[in-house]
Amino acid sequence: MSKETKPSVELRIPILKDMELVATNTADVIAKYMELSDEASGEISMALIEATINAFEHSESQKDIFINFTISDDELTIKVIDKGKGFDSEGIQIPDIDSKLKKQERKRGWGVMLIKELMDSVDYESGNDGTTLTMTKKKKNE
Amino acid sequence: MFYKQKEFLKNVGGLEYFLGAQLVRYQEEAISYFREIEKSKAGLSKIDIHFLHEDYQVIFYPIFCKNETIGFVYGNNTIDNAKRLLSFSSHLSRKIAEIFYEKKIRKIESRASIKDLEFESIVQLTNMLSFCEDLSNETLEYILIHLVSLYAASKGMFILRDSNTNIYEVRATFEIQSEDLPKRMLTDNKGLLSELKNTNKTFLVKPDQFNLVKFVKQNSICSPIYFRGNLLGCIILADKESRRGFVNFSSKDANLFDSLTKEISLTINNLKLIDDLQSTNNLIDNIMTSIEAGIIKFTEFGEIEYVNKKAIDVIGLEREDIQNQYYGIIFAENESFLEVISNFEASESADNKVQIIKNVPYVNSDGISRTLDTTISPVFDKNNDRSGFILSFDDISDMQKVKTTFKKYVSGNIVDEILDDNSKTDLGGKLTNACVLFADIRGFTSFSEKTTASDLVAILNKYFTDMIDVVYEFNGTLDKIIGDELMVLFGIPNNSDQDCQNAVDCGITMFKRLDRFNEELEKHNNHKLKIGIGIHFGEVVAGNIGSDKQMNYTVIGDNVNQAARFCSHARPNEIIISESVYDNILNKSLFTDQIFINVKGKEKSIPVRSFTHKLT
Repeated sequence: MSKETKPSVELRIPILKDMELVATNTADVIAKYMELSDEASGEISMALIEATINAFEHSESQKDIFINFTISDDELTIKVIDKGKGFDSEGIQIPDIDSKLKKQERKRGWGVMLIKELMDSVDYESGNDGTTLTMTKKKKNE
Repeated sequence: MFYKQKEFLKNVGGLEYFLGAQLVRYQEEAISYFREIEKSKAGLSKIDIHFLHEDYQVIFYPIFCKNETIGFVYGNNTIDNAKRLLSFSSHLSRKIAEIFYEKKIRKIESRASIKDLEFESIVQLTNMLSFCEDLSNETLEYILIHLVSLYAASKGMFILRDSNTNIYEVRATFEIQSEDLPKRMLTDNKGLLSELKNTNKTFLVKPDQFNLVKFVKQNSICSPIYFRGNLLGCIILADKESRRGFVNFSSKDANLFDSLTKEISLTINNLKLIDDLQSTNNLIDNIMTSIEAGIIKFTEFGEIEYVNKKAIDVIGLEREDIQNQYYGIIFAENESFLEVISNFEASESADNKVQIIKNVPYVNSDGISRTLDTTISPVFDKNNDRSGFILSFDDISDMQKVKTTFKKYVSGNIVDEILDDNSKTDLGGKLTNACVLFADIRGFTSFSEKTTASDLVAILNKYFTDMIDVVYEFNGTLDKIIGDELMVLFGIPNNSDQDCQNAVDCGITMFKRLDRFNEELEKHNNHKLKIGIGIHFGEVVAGNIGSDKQMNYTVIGDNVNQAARFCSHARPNEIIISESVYDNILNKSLFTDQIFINVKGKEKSIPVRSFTHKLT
């Protein structure tokens, strides 16, 4: 049986300043390739920035993080994998929007809440050897 | 930093590797291939590298970032799909590369724009400085604000030394609280100013390093301002602002600031020189205005360069109409005055001689006439070349008036003598030779008894007027009138060898004038006046005799008394002269041989000669 392998992109990103841009640029190219709308593409980029930076911060191991894009006809699945110690997704605090706005830290810390807003589904698998965040964006046929 | 490709390959695995033109079957071989390429330092991104995996079903194309593999695009190993994946991977690589290009370009751009900003600020500062006209606080504040914005400083201070008091003053500030301003007098004996004075350099100052900069939170740049080699002040910029809050000024900032303040120093030096020049000019102007003499400065070409107020008053034109005009035009109507200037110009010795010409008449455009005493002297520049000349004049019109009036009362000789030499008004005297003439009316008492008082005064006034006219004709000096007696001096204040001759001629003429006077008198009063005259020549004491309030310029001494005695000896129509007078006259034949008379106070009889007037 010939196994169907969906076209995929796998990135291994060192934890360095501005490397999240490599991820978002990749996401942009993929979104174009998949003919996603500009809006969807923007949402993916924003979610990816959050996920990547979260992974940078949570991954105390200082190792690289892995990002896997899996392209199918109707959706894009992105996995952000860090090899740091995991965290309890249930325990994540929803940030206080007002205080965040007042502190003018708009770029940072929206984290999971934002990702959930931006993507169609978000899922965490966390263990002692790291965390895998899986998020999908559905291709809407207008 | 970036992991090596071989490690990545190890992680990903793979069955068959296509490395450029080569097909490598085993991972180890692929790894050693990479090792070789690394050694040769050749770029890997150009190599068409891909590999197969999982039973040749999946094909991998690497994504490069800065010549490192950063990931893979993979999918089914069908021909169409492989092509798509390849173009996709290279597209991705390009896109990722763009991030770093863009970042690099942005970095360069922002650095360029900072440089641009600095350059523009310097140009602006230079422009701004060229418009500064004075050293007012506004100007200094203007400069300070410009520097503050150029350096993104949050505070600034401009300190300058007052050149009169030598005390440093805070002349301009930016965002400094009044409680942070120095409370004490600022000197360069200690603290920051002393440091600046000694090092002569721009330097970075930490907070709390000096009391003067206690308002600083982060650090500050202090730069000295110099004037003729001496510290004149300083500019302080503090606490550089950035998006991260206050940051330190760097040594680069200090270097640029140093050159900027040097330029500012230069401008301030210029402004200060202009200021000094202006105050010197004002001082000269004030002096020129306050002096009584008229001053006119001419260029070497005869243009009027400067006139003071007195000169303007005398000339009677506006300053603008006089200055920068050729003197020939301004003084065209005043020939004598014009001559004074042109003679000086023409004279060969004008190079270093001062020319004094007195009593020059001047009539201005309003028809007011004046008398001027002029002095012209050449002016030399610092190379000792003649650069023009200065005419100063005293308006002696008032003096002339005084003299004319004065002379009615006192002999003109004495007036001139007194006015010409102030020392003559001092009390005191000097021993000198003089010829003294006394003349008095004979039989005055019987005459006065027969005449009314008012007639008597009128007659006497007429008599004295006529006689004094004669005295003046012969350069005599009327010393005083004592009752009906006249005392006249010759040779006072200035001796001449004509003094005795003048005295004798004066006496003879007085008789003649008296004859005419008597003709008139006889018509009305049927009476005649007769006088006797005594003249003696000898040493007398001449000077101002009296008190501060009233003094008389007169002569005293035995010889004066002797002249008076001769007068009382003289009969009507007779002149008695001493031998000393006789020795000094030409018309000796008019006088008799020696006769001896006894006078009061002299034991011996004295030889005299006499002249008797005969009515013609």
